[in-house]
Amino acid sequence: MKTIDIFSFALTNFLRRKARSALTVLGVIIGTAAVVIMLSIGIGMNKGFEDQVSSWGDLKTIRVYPYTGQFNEETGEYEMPDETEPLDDITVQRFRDELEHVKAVSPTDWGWSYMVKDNKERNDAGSISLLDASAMADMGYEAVYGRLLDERDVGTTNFVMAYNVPFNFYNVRTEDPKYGEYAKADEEFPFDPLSDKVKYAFTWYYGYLRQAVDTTKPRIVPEEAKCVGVLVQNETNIKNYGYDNDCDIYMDINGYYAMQERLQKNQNKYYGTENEVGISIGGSSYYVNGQQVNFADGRENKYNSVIVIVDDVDHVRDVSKTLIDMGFETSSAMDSLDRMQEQTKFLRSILGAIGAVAFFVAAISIANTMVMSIYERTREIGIMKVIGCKLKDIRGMFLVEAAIIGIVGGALGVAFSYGISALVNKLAAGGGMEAFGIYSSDSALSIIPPWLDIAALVLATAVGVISGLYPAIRATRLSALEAIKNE
Amino acid sequence: MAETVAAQAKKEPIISIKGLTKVFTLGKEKVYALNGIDLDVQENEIICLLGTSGSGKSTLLNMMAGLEKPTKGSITIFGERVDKMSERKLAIFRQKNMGFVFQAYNLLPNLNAIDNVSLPLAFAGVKKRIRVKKAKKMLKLCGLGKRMKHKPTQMSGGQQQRVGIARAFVATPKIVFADEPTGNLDTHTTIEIMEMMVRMSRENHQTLIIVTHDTEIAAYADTIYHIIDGRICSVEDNREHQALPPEGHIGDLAADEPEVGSEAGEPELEMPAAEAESSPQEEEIGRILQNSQIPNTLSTEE
Ligand SMILES: Nc1ncnc2c1ncn2[C@@H]1O[C@H](COP(=O)(O)OP(=O)(O)OP(=O)(O)O)[C@@H](O)[C@H]1O
Ligand SMILES: [Mg+2]
Repeated sequence: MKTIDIFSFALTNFLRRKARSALTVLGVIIGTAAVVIMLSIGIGMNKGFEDQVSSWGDLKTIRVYPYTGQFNEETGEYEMPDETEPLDDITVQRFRDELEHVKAVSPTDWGWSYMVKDNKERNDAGSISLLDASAMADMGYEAVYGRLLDERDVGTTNFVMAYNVPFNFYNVRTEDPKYGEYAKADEEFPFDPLSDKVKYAFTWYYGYLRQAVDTTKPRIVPEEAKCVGVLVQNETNIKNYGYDNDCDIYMDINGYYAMQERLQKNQNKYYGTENEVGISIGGSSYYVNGQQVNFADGRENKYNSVIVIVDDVDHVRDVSKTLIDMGFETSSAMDSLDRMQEQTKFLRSILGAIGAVAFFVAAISIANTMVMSIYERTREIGIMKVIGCKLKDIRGMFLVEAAIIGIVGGALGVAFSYGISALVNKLAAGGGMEAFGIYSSDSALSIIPPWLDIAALVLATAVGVISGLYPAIRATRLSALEAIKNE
Repeated sequence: MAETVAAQAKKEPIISIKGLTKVFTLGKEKVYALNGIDLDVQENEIICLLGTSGSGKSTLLNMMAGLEKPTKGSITIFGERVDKMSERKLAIFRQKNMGFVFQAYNLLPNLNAIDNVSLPLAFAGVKKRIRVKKAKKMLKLCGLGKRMKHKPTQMSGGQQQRVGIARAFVATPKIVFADEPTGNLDTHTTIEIMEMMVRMSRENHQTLIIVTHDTEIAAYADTIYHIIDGRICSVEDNREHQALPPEGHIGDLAADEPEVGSEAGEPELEMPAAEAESSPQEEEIGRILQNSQIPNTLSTEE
């Protein structure tokens, strides 16, 4: 028999018993939709966690710290390693050389200083994000104006600023202090931030420009510095909140550390004391739980932490593990994500199980329909056998009919689940997400990725064929003789 | 005539049955449905298995068709042991060599006449366009030119049986089995149906095996085997007194379809096989035979 004839026979039979075929298909629709919806909720939850966690920090970023020991759960004692790998330039170089799947490695730290413009305006936001100037491009920063820091800026106080920074200067004599002014999307700068005429300087002195200078004391000398670029606004934040809240200055870490020393000396001279400001400079001894940490080879811990940016989210766990094996402590948004997903695993597997049960019921319904249909058609099948229909063709007809039920049910089921999914998301938008511990505003509770459509369709068809297997084999075993004996 | 019989007797039989016995065991009781049947059937022969109810005729026919296995003995058709064939092989063997006409017609209720008739061709893997053409031609030959789209329930018993005949002959099988083909029909229709079957098998040089309890039907056969209690008790050469379809009846038969009726007409009635070959209709059927054999041989893959 030609394949097309087997299909057309199967289709004719499928269409012949409309009510029953429709009911069986309905079973498959419900089964498919159940699986798709349950899985889509699981996927939506994971996506929600991901969105939420990545709003805390990029998922591809790993923060590395020196390993300083941990509590032993049994003894309750804090156990410190005899020797710890320090975070210094050797370590940074080692990460760059040895780690695979890594896009950028940079020491990081936070600095702080008041910022002075043209010696008459101040910006008190003050946060300085420290990094290795040569790694800035690899770390994924992007300049909208000017350029990023690069090799040329290593060891200097050249800086890049966030888009908001120019909006936060205020005239000490005429204006109230500004705290966190956020520019609108693409808002024009109040002045040209890269103009040669604009002079920037940093100082730690709170009263600078603000208070009358005590001329009996040594003069406060702000550190002049050059701005080389302005960063793009964070699109996601603009989209979600209407503004980007980044008000930081970005500077080379070693350049800053050097400036920090100069600022401190100047400050101390002014106050005439050594420790008035009380800022300790990186590289000093490292204490944990009152115990001093011994660093390997007598090296010093130069950096607070080192950031490792991985090329792909899928490699984060591996790189993290490698770093731990190298003797460091790590933390990443991925850790939190894993923890959250672990916590909802049970819930998600229950959802999956509900879908699976629905599908199983649909499979039984297909098998039942096919068996019934064989009982009804015993005589017909017998006649076909007598007049020369091959066994494999009879088997084929029934398998194809079952597959048709599966495909039609699967396709309609997938279509149906889009409706349900939209409904679920509408309901969830009114607080349903929080019920699952997801606080990300732009995530949907139910997400149907394209692969799920295809998988559901393939699964429904496969279930159809598998449920049709037994009935089909049964059909070929029917006695032709019984069929043609006069009733 | 006598010469032809002698010549045929010398030829290899296409069906050869030896010592065929079928025993049904019902509890402690043994029923000998067949008890040592020996039977040879020649090519182009029309035979009749005649006997009373329960004599074992159907059992014998079913066994020849491979639908039932014998307890003892052998059935050889075209040199192949039908009783030893697997189900799979039998399906192909039947598809290639056998046609069936049933007492209860056994048409598929959801298919119309054309689809029912083209069924054996579909099983043999013939393309839809070709098999529909053949089925239509066959239905016209059977006088059903105006009933082609009808479903079985929309036809009379006689019409259904004509569809059954068209289906049995459409793939031009070498052997056609007919078990009580007219059992459910009145006398007039019985004559029509019998004449049609005989005519067709003559035209195509087919072997026709008829099972009946009716001596009037047996009269259409070349050879009549009288069966009593599972044994052949006598063989009757019927060629001399054969009931040949008179001209008038064929006209009636094909009244449905005038053009075909006139074409299908007279020359075949006398039935000297050699002469019949020259008729245009004969050629047509011959072509059908040839065409349908191409896919048949192809489909013997195993
Ligand atoms: N499956 C079976 N089981 C038991 N006995 C059977 C079976 N089939 C047939 N028989 C017996 O075998 C004998 C022959 O049956 P068969 O059907 O061949 O008769 P028949 O000549 O065709 O009769 P009819 O003209 O009534 O159709 C009967 O006695 C019948 O009871
Ligand atoms: Mg019988």
